[in-house]
Amino acid sequence: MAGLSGSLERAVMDVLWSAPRALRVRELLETLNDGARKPLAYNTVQTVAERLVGKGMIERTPDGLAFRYAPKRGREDYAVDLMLGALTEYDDHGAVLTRFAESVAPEDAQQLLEALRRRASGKEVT
Amino acid sequence: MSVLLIGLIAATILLGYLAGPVLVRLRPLADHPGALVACWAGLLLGTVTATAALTSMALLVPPTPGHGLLEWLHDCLPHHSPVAFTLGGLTSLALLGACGARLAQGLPRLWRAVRRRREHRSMLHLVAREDRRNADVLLLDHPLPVAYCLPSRWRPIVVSTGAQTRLTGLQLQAVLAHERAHLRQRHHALLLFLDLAHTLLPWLPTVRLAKATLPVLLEMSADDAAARRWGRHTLAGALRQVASTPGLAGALAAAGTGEGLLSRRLTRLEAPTSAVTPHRARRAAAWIVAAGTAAIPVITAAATLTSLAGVC
Repeated sequence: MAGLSGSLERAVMDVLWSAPRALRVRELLETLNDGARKPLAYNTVQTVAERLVGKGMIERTPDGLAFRYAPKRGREDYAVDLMLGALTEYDDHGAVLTRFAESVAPEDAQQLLEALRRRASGKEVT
Repeated sequence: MSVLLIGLIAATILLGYLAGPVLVRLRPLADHPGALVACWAGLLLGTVTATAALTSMALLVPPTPGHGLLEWLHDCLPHHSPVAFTLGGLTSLALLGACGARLAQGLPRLWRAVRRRREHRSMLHLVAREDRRNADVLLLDHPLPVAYCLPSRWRPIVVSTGAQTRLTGLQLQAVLAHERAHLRQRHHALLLFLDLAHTLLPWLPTVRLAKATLPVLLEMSADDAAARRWGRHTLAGALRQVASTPGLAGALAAAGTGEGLLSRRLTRLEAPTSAVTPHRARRAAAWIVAAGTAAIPVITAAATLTSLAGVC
């Protein structure tokens, strides 16, 4: 998992998450190779991007003869999923949430309340 | 042969029904979670082995019903065989069915837990950042203060940025020491085994008690390791801030230890005469108990199966 292909997937996701828009493989390659000692080949990056599409992490849209790639969801969304996954295994997670709620800054607390109210009234939280 | 059989039955009853309740009430070990964990591990392994060996004996040895099944299958003429053989065959079928049902229930559960852990791991790999200061830590951008670990060769500990900002440097080190103790002492493997034992043999008092107490003991044992290095009060302070969980072992969620767990750990850490370093003699005694409870059924089962090879 921590092998070469794993780190490449990581690097590609990093670039796509910090990019303001969907990127072509060429642009992706330029960012990845910027200042790199051993530049990556075009085909390598394309393969990694396609594999991430297969995993459902990024989506591609046709752009001329090539594709543009963009992450499907933000990094924060995945972080939330992971936190929930870890917490559901923890039988004391009510206490964690309480302590968290008690410690957020007042302006954050207002936002949190808003989000909870929206969620309680059945609308989608974005 | 019959001596071995009696030995196995005795081992199953002793370990499965009596040893667990005795271990829970054992005063001298009450405040030595590390030693208790070793005892429970040995006890669980012994109980599972003894029960498994007894079941396979029941299915195979001549005087027991299962041998009837073999003979029945062998001549394939049930209405020509004596009634006893038919009855024996039916009993064995019921026993086989029961074992099969238990396994069918338990194994997919174990498999799901392992797969979920792997998926979580690979997602972490893409989403989390590497911590520059600690070579075994991944940072997850999230305000909830959480720390947990997942067995892996590459950065097995996960700390949220919420936890990082909320803890002092020493407190963070104490939390990391706690997680490292979980990893070093292979607590995940033990929890998976406990989960499997509980799905297969949920009615044995020893297994039920292990399910209720072992998760807490694992936390306390890791607490002790961290407290020895960084001080009890540092760790207690850190635990008040952060949820630390062994993470995705598949057993903790169902353990039902409730919300008393953290407060019990804190009370223990903050007690004026808390013994985080067990006596050497007690630790040695615990290891002997653990090794004995595990070894005796394993050896008996092995001897029984070798002698069975000659019979069948």
